[in-house]
Amino acid sequence: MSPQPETESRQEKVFQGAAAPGEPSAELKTLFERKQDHQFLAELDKLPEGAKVKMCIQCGTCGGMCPVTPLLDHSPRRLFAMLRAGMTDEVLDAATPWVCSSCYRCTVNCPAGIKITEVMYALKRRAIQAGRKARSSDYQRFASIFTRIVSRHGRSHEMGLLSRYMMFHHPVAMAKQSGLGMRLMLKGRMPLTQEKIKDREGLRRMAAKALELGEGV
Amino acid sequence: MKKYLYYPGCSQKATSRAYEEALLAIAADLGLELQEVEDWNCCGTTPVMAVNKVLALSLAARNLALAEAQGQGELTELVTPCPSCWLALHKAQHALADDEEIAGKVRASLEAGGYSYKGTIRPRHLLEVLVNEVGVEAIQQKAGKPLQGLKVAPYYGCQVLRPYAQGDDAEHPQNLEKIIRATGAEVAEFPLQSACCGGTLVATRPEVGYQMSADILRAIERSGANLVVTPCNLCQATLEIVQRKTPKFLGHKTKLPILAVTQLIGLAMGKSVKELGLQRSLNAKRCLRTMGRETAA
Repeated sequence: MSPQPETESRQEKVFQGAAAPGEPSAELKTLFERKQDHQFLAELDKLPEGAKVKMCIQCGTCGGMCPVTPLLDHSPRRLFAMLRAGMTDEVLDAATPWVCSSCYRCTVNCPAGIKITEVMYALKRRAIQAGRKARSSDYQRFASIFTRIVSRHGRSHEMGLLSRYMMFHHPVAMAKQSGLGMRLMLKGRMPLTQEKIKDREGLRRMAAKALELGEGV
Repeated sequence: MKKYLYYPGCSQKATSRAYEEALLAIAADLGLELQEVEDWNCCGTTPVMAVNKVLALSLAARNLALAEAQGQGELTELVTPCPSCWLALHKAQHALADDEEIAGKVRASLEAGGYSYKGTIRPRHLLEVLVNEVGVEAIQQKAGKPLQGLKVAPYYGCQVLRPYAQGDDAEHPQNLEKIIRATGAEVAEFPLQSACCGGTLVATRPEVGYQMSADILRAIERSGANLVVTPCNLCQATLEIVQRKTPKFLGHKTKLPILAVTQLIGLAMGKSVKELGLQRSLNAKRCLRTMGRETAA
């Protein structure tokens, strides 16, 4: 078979579903004519953790060794390609940063030296600031409740955190876990009362200032 | 006696109480004097970093500031048993030293709360201090009841090794192995010793988090280990919790005692069940039987 017909058939495939012969398909149109948003990548580029995102060599080491692969809608490799293609919207809606377990395996193995785990944190913060709701992960709510508890009282409190996280949103899971909670309580490992630091005044002033200065970082 | 500032972290007062109880039981014998930082607060750990970077770093930095004031320039080393706390403190220390823009914001936040930090504290993880400062020989000497006949699986977890492996090799860590041998036990080699246990995913995405820990438990079981030892309080609690459900994920129940590194050393030193908080294990009876301590003292 000569190479010519094969090329034609491939072209035919690509242009399948075209409105008129010779016109590109709807899928291709969305890819080429969509609005590209490069502003976020430019901002990320200025952060110490984001400076090397543009250096990604698309090798796939990150996704290949990620322990939560089954949960990723896009591997970090693809997220970086999407960022460079200006697909900021899709990146901010991705589940990937929210299911990252912060194990740093990708970070220490990235041949381009990208601090991938830190970039995932930056994506999470940006998604929250942009008012995005991570559709496939509830970690956003978990993180907010945790943050509220520690910036008010100075100490984390597993009982308060988990009950607030689960009560209305995961009642079945909460019922299932209640036996475990009881056992931990009986073992003295899950105190009922919230520990509090003494200088909560100072802490709250510090937290308020930090929240303000941390906008957009 | 070697003196250190001490940062326990929240879980040492809750889910990982036994880790701290055992640490305080063995510290004096090992020549460690730990001075707890007064009025310390949560390090911020992973969730706060997802919400606000300046807040996360400031929460950690407040502890560095308090430690610096308390140490008065004489004590500058801050030891913590929690890998996640250690990483948060270490990150804050790095950011304050290397990243001018962020450092300025963190300092301004500290100032708003009435704190200041010059930058003289060095955060260290307990595991590395045990090996590099206390020394394997000292542990061996104090191990009056060596754990002969026990095969112990060294499970590191993530954050004590990544992204900064202070005082150990990131790819081929040896600190836990050294301690296991010093207690007279044998090391059980298994492949997933620095795999992620799932951590918070056990609460937020149980179907995935449980599987991650279950895979680790299976690998440990196949190595022929009698018990597991870890320097991470979150890993310790997670593996214990997941082990209750292993039939669902592995088809059979794994029955491994899962100890904190301080508990293992304490056992070899002949400390009592109560001193080491062994009764707090979710499978305490099996723990005690494995150690040959049927009777709680």
